[in-house]
Amino acid sequence: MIVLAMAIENHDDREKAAEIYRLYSTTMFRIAKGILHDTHLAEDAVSEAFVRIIDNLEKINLSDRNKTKGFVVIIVRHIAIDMLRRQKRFVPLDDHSDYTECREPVLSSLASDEACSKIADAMAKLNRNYSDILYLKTVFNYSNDEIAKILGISRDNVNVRLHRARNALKQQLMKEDDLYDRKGKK
Amino acid sequence: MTEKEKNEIIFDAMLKIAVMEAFEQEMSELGSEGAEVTDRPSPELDRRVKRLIDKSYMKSKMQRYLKLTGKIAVCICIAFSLISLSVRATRNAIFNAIIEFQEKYARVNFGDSEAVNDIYRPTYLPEGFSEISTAKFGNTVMIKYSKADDAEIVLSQRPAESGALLVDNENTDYTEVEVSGATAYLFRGSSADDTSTLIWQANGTVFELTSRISSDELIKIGESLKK
Repeated sequence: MIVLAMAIENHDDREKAAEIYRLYSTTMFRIAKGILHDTHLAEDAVSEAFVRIIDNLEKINLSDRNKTKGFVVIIVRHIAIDMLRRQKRFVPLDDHSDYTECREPVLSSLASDEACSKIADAMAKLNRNYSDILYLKTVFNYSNDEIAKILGISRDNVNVRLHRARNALKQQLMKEDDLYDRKGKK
Repeated sequence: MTEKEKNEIIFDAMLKIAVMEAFEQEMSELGSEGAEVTDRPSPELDRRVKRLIDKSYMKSKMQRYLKLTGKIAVCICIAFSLISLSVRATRNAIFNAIIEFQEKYARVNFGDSEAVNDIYRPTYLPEGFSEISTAKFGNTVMIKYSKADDAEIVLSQRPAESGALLVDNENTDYTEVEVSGATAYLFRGSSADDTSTLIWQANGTVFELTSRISSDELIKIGESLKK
C-alpha cells in the first residue's frame, strides 16, 4: 500500500505536481520500462516515484527544467532498479566494498580538460545507482540526510553508496589506465 | 601536503566538474519533454497519479482541519457552558448561521435544534452516479456517490446541534442560494479542479454537499433529498 507522507500544501503545489506529471510522465515511464521490461510494473514504478516526488515537492524548481528532469529520472530509476532487485531477489550492484584502499589517480601531469573528460566517460559507464547518488550529491548539492529521504534509504546506506560510487569511479578509471601511475599498480 | 593528498584534492575538483558534465550530457540525451514519443503511460496511470495528488492535497487539508478542530473544541465547550446558563428560547433560535471567514476556512456555526434519526437520500443524481458507500462518524452520516470517471459527490448530514462546519474557502467564491425554500451557503469552486460545497439546514438537519460537478447540479440534488 502506498503511504503518502504528504507535501501538497495548497493549490499551487497541486498545480506543480500535475505539471511535473504532464511534463515528465512519459520520460519516467520510458526509463522504468527500460529497466523492468514490463508495462504494468513500469507504471507501478512511476506511480511509486510520484509519491516520492510529492514528498519532496519543495525541492523541485520547475523553472530549472534540466534539474527537474534529472530529479524525477533519478527517483524513478532508483525505484525501478529496486523493484527489479526485489523481483529477482538479487541484482548485484558492482561490489566495490572491498576497494577501500584504492590507489589514487595521477592527475597533475594531465591537462584538466582531458582529465575531466576521462572522468565523465568513466561516469557514463558507472552503475546507475552510483552515478545517481553522485548526481544528487554534486549537481543538486543535497546533504546525505536529504539524499536518504529522496531515495528512501538510510543515512548510513547513503554514506556507503557514496563511498562505493567514488571507488567504483576510480576503478573504472583504472581500467583505462591513463590517470593512474603504473608504478602504483598492485 | 603529500602527493596522495594533492591528487585526492585534484580528483575531487575534477570529479565535481565531470559529474556535472555527465549529468548535462545525460539529460540532453533523454530528449526534450515536448518530443514526440510513441510509448506513453496509460490513461489509467494518469488517473492513479491524479488521485495521488488529490489524496495528498486532501490529507494536507485534513491535517489543517484537525489542527483547527482542536481550537474549535475549546470554543464549543465554552459555547455549551453559556448555553446552559441561558433560557431555552435563546437555545432554540432556529437557524443562526454565522460565517467566519478565516485564512483557509470558513466556519459555519448552527443553532440548536432537534436531532434526526433517519437518513436523507437524494431522489435525483446526475447521470452515471451511484451510491458507493455510507459511513457514520459520531452523529454525522456521510454518503458517497461516484461514477466511472472517478467524479465524486459527498453528502453529509447531521442533527443541527450547536457546532461548527469547516469549509475550505481557499479556491471558492461564496454566495447565498435557495434550496427548497431554505437559505443555503454555496462555496463555488473557482475552477473545474476545485470542489464546490453547498451547506444548508432543513427539518433539524444540517446538510453538506461537496463535489466538482456544477453548483446547479448540487442545488438540484439538494432539493431532491427525501428520507
